[in-house]
Formats: sequence, C-alpha cells, structure tokens
Amino acid sequence: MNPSDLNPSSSLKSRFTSRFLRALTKVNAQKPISPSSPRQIFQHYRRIKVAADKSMAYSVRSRRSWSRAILWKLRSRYSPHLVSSARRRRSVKITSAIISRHQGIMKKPSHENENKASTVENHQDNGFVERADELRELVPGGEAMDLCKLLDETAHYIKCLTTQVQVMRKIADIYSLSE
Amino acid sequence: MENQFFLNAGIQSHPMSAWQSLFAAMEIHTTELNCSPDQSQDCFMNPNWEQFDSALSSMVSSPAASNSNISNESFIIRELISKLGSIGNSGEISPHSQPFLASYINGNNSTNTSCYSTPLNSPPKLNLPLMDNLVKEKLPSLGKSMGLNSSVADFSADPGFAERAAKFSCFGSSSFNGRTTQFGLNTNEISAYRSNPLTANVKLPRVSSSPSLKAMGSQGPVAVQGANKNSPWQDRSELANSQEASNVSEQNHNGDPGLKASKDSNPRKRKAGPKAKPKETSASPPANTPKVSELNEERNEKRCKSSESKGNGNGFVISEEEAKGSNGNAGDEKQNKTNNNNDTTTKPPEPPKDYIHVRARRGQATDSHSLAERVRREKISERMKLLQNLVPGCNKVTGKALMLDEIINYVQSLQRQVEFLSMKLASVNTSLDFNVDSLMSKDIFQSNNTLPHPIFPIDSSASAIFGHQPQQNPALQCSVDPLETGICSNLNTHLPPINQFTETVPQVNSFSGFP
Repeated sequence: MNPSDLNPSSSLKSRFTSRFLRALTKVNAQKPISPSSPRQIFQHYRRIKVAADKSMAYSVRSRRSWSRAILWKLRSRYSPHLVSSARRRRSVKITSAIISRHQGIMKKPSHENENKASTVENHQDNGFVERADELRELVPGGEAMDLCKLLDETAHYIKCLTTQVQVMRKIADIYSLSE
Repeated sequence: MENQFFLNAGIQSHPMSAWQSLFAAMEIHTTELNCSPDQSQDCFMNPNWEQFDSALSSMVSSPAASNSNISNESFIIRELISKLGSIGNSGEISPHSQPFLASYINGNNSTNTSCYSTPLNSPPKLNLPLMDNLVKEKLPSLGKSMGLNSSVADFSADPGFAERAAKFSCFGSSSFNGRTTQFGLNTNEISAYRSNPLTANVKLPRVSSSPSLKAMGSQGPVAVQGANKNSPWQDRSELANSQEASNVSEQNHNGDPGLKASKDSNPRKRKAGPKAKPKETSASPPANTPKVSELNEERNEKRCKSSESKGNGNGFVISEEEAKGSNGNAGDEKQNKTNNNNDTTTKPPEPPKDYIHVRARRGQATDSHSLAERVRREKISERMKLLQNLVPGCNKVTGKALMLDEIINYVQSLQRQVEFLSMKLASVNTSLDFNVDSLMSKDIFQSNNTLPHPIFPIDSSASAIFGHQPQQNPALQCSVDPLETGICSNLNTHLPPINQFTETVPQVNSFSGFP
C-alpha cells in the first residue's frame, strides 16, 4: 500500500485515508448512475458520512471510548442490513454483551451526575454541569463517562475530527477539480 | 497512546524524565522532593548527580587523606562548584544563589568553599536571604581559622561553624536531626545527606527550627565528607520516611517569602513531630506510604513550585499524577489518608493541616474527601489546559464554563464540516473511480491543509453568511472556509437532527441547491 511508503509510521491520517477511500469506492458502487430522487441523494450522502465515521472509528480501533461507542452503534444499527447471518449472530452476541455492559454503565452516570452536580457546583460555575452534559451529547459515548475521562475523550476526538476534515476536504478538492 | 497524544498536544510526560532530573537537581529544596520514588532513581542517576558524585567523592577522599595537596583539593572543589554552578545557572536559580555560588567559586579557601558548596549548592534556593548574610560573615572567619592546610575534619570541628552551618543546612532536615555528633565517614549519614530528599536514614524526625538545626549542623560537614557510593537511597521505606520528614521541612522552607513565616510555626511542628513520627511509621505500612507520599510530594511540588514556571511544574505534576493515577488505587489512597488523618488528629492541637502524610496545602481542608476532590479538580484543570491548546482561539478565554463553551462550539463545527464534506463528496461526479493509488499520492499527505482556524472565529458570524445560501454551488467547488461554515449552518438549520432523519423526504427538498 502506498501510504506505507510515504508514512512508514502508519499514522492516523494514513489509516483513515485508506479506509475511507475504500469505503467510498464501495458506496459509490452502490449508488445508481443517475440519482433521480432526492431521497437517493440523501441516502447516498448518509452512507458516505457513515463511511467516514466508521473508517475513522476503525482507524482508532478500540483504544478510545468514543470509537468503541461509534462501532457499537454502527453494529447495532446496521448489522441487520449489512452483515451476513454468521456475522450477524456474532455481532448480535457482541452487541448484546455490549448492550448489557452499556446499560450497566449507563446507570452509573445518573448517580455520578448527581454526585458530580453537587460537588462540581460547589466549586465551579453553575453553568458548568449543563455544558458538560452538552459535551457529553456531542462526543460519542460520552454519556458513560465522568468529567475527567470526558475531557480526555474530547481532546482525542477533536484531534481525530480535524484529521478527518483535512482528509475529506482534500479528497473533495481533488475530485471537484478534476471534474 | 495517551502519552503520545499528550506529546502531540504539547505536553511532555515521560520524555521529561531527563528534564525532571535536572530540574530536581537544581531545585532541591533539600526537603523538596522533586522526584517521586519511582523517579528518584532517575533523579539521582542523571548526569548531574553523577558528576556531583564523582566530584564529591574525589573531594571527600582528599581531605580524608589529610595530607591532600591543597592544589588538588582546590581544583576538585572548583570543578565541583563550577558543575554545581552550571546546574544552578541552567536551572534558573534565583538571583540570590548566583552571587552566592560565585562567591564560593572565587573563594580563597578551597576547603571552606567545598564544605559550603556541597550542602549549600544542592539546595540552591534554600534560605538564601539568611544564607547570604551568614555566609559572608562566615567566610572570612573561616578563612582565618582554617588556613589552607586544614582538613575538613578540623573544619567541621569548629563549633561556631557547626552552629552556623546548622542554620545553612536546614534543608538537611530529617537526616541530621536526632543523630549524635559523629564525625568521620559514616556511610549512613553520608547517604542520608546525599539523598537529602530521599534520605536513607532510619530516624527521620521532624526538621525544622533552629535548635534542631544546630544538631544537624554538626552532621552537615561530616556528611559532606563522606562519599556515598553504595547509596541506599533507593530504599523505599526509608525513602517514604525521609520524604515525609523532608516534606515537613519543605513546608518550612517554602520559598523565600514564606520562609520567615514558616519559622514561627516550626517549634510547634517540631514538638509534635517526634511524637507523631513513631505513630505514623507504625501506622502506615511502608508499602502504602510511597503512594501517599507521592501524592503528597506532588502537592508539595505544586505548592513550592508555584512561583516557578507553572507550565513546567504542572507538566511534571501531570506526569506524576498520571503515573500515579494509573498505578494507584483510589481506595487505598483514601484509606491511607484517613489513617493518616486519624493519626494526626490524635496529636495535640496542630496547625490545621496535616503535614505528615497528606500534605494538604496551607490553609486548606484536610479531610480525605476534600483532598481527593482537589486531586480530581487538578486533573480536570490539566485536561482543560490540554484542550485549550487543541481548540484554536481560546487562549483568551478564562474560566472553565467559557472554555467548555468554546470546546462545544468547536466540536460542533468540526462535526458539521464532516457532514458538509461528506455531502460534497456525495455530490461529486462519481464517474471517476476513486482510484486509491492515485489518491494516495503525495497530494494528500504532503499538503497540509490548514486546519480550519479561521473557521472557528468566523462561526460566530455564520448568521451573517446566511445570505449566501443561494450561492452554494461556488462554495461547493472551492472550499472557502467562511462560506463553508455558513452553508453548514444553513444546511443544519434545515436539517437540524441529521443523524436522526433517515426517511424524511420533505426535509430533503432543501437540497434543491445541489447539482
């Protein structure tokens, strides 16, 4: 693969780029030649966006909570459609395990939030907790994290998002220019 | 991964071990424990300390011979002083210490300067105002009394010197206090002296006020003589004890301004010290004390270094805390703290903080909950600083709430950009194959597309760009950042919860602008 020649360290950028391009080719193969309905356009766009998020999450593997959350969401949502029966069984098993774990984790934040709200507000601004919750919604998988971990994940997520934006913009530029 | 990430974010964790050791060597407030027990080895194995070792050993061996050639001594001593001076100079020693060192380097009495330099240079910043006066008055007297042929042993036997040296070497703290006046090369003493912060001495009572310093003073020059080759500094249990004691004295010597104030509280602490010490050493198992003392050291470092460059200190602390956080068990730490708190509360009325183990800051609550809370808050503030580096344009923003606002805005804008770009890619004429090989050309990797730095501040003016909505096509062709945000926000106003809509055809009608 060419990226290895250019970036022997196989950075996040290269991993994401290769994956995304492969996914893009796959998505475009699915697309009808002449999109007739706006709905098809929208679906196409959705697939591309999902491909982008998915390839980014795969590039990060499971090292980060947010990537794990994205992968879990994708598998649970799309496994009926895209996955074969054998993989579906496995993915169902995985997702069920993840769901149970997630539910266990999800119960925690309610307690954590209560404690956090009381302790945090004692020491910090009152608007802090609401903003933290907002951030939780933005970052995938943020509901199950305490503030400290949330900030960690946010930082890494920002870094990956900027990489994603860079690569996608470059690809779009190349293809729009070559039209 | 996390370390790498933090590295990229401009914060260094482990690669700073060399820097930390250098910093520790310079900043040794004697009692100040710059290095945790984990890194103590690094501290003392750094080249500076090795130089110190070699120079010290060579210097010490010469007086022991008692027939040493003064020229050799002076040469060695000057070498040592120059090395220490270089350490000090590179480490931003306070202006007090530099003329201090210079006076020593230029001192006439080589032995005098050597004896002074070793205890005094190792804590370069310690008690400098006091030291300056005392040193200057001492030098001439010593010069007369000693003569060039005086060995260090004779030098140390001077009672007046012992007293004054005591005042100097208050850093020595734990290692010296409680020891009988023994001259000669006592490896334990020497090792304890050498590893002042990490002293290996068994008895580490509280250090502090001047009466105790007198006893210490006698040990000071003696310890200087010994070269500690087989340093049991790494002994963890003693290390913990020494850290505790040294932390105590560290509190006393909290930098120049706090010095005089702390002296007043010294007698109180000192009285309570010996009583508390046996209790604590028995109460807290040595295995746990490193963790607690690590935590305490960090706080002390933070406190004592607050006047220093905050970034460095915090960076160091960050690494400490991370290492500790990954290894430490929060429950154990809390338990230790509660144990320590219980121990300390049984003592006679003390200053509000427990300075033995917990190392609460001056004037702050000391119960275990507040301590854990403080640690947590500090972690959060560290992470906020990292985020500040990542998010462009929030250097001016102060306060966590506002910072969080900025962060939220930035993440939202990035996500919108991803959506916009995916739409753009969807609209690209897909008759062209996405030729992976050609795309993996240098274009993608070498051209560093500027991060959307201008986008972020322009985000606030996105509403002004709403008028550009009909001009989507030109915006699609060339990525103009302001238009992108405008369009992104426009599209999002039409399709606010894009992620949720999968079958909303009417919403899709807003895509009329697409080719």
